[in-house]
Amino acid sequence: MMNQEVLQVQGLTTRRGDFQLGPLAFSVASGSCLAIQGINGAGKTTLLEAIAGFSPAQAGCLMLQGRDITAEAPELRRIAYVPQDLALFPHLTVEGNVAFGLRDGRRASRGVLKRLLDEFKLNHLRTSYPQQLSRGQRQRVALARALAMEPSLVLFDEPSVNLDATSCEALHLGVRRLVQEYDLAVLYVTHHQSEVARLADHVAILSDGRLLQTGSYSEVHARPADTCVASHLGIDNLWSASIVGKSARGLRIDVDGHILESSTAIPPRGPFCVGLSAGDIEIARSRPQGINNCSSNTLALRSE
Amino acid sequence: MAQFVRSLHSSRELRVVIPFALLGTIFLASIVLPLAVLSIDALSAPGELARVASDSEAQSAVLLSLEAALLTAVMAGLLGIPLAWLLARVEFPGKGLIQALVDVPLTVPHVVAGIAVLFVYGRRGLIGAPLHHLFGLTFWGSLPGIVVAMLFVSAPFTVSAARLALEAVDPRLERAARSLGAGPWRVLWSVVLPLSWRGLLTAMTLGYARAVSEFGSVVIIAYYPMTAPVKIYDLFLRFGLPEALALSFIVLVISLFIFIALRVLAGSGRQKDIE
Repeated sequence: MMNQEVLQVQGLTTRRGDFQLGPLAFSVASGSCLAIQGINGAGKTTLLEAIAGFSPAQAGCLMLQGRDITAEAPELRRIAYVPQDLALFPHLTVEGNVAFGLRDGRRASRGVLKRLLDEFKLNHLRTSYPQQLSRGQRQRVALARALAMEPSLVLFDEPSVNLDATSCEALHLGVRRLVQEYDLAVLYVTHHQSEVARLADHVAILSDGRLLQTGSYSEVHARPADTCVASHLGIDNLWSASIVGKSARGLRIDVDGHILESSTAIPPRGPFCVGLSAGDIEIARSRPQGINNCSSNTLALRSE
Repeated sequence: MAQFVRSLHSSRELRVVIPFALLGTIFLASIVLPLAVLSIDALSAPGELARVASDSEAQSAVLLSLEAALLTAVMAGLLGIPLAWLLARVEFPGKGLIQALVDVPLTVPHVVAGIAVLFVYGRRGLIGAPLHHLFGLTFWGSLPGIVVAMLFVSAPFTVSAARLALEAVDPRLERAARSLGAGPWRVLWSVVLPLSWRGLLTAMTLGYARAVSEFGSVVIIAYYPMTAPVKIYDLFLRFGLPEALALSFIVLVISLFIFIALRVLAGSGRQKDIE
């Protein structure tokens, strides 16, 4: 199936107090997850609020499935928004929470409600209140509630903060399910590199209200646009380097007098750095077989 | 309790706690003692109590007070809760001024409030005149007059308490509801009100309590028909303390009963919402 672009963000600019976000441009396709990665204060939540309709756009436009939603009220956008604390309604039961988002009149939607409760294993909890549930159960309620409105796009605002490993695992499975089974477009905001690696088909690095780089996860990880992106990706070991020639597999690169061989044959434009991600370092007692003085994960990137 | 005692004993804070407890006791005594002495004196003359309780004038004064205060509480809720919501949720220029205006009645002597209300709602007043012409409504010496006077002095309590109750509703829940397709009215109806109704009821209870006890402004705009406080004052002026005592006790008991009942209603199940 062709993946269609669900959300298109074109030159979006918004403000919150002194903070300016944008102009930003990116898109999310159906059946894919775009992770927005950035440190606290980068503007991640402001971006989600602008897309959900809680922060008015000052310039640019938002297109949802070809429809201009820039000036539309949040309740008309049909974009599911799962905030960090899930925001389940404390005065409604599990069933009431899930039914809140149902699109049509009660009778027509009865079947949808039952299906969602079944699918998210909430049937035995339907009369419970959110405060009686475990964190994992609450998450399932939040996902079922988001799906009840039949959205084409789901926004997640750092849902894994304060989660233990098991709940985090369950959350990631849930998100992948939305992408793969329901063919939804998911925008997932996080500051965890590991989550991006696990969940995202595409990643956008947000810093100080601007996008530094967007692309597929492997693309961005292999060729970070600059040292700032590299540091967002957890690549802190950086050396200035220069190209000294070509090799059978890629390029021969001089790093501090050591010659390394890169896995890419496309030379970076201008001066660049070589970076080594901490996760790629392995410590061995003896020299492993088949490894000389080159690394297969050598990264080529421009320096600022 | 055991922990409380231990924490006091093990702490140098005792030097603060003891004088503060003494001052607090004096404060509480100044409230409880007059009411207790009044009750004991009244109960020591059960015959007089029974006579006043069966007196039709006294009965209608008490009923009028309850009726007017209830109407006032409902009006304060209808007019004050929307204002409280604006103050709690919307940023607009002059918000500080509006908040100050809401609180102005707290600083105005109630007799002054009565005269001011009479000027506006009197038969030649700015509001009183057209209402009299159009609907034949008279405020001087009537139930509507008593209600507007009570409203003036009790509305600030309702608005302030309602504002606190509405501010306590997590705005993130309102946003979640909006993104799930609920328009502003549905959010108000299905999220804000269910989560704040106890606080709003408390706000109206406060308004009721303030209204039922009002004397100063009511006596200006309506000496007749007499509310209970005016009737007590009238009895006191004409016959002295003993006559006023029995009705005072009856009014005290009724007021406390209603106040406690409303507090219990507003407090019931609150724990469930907060957890």
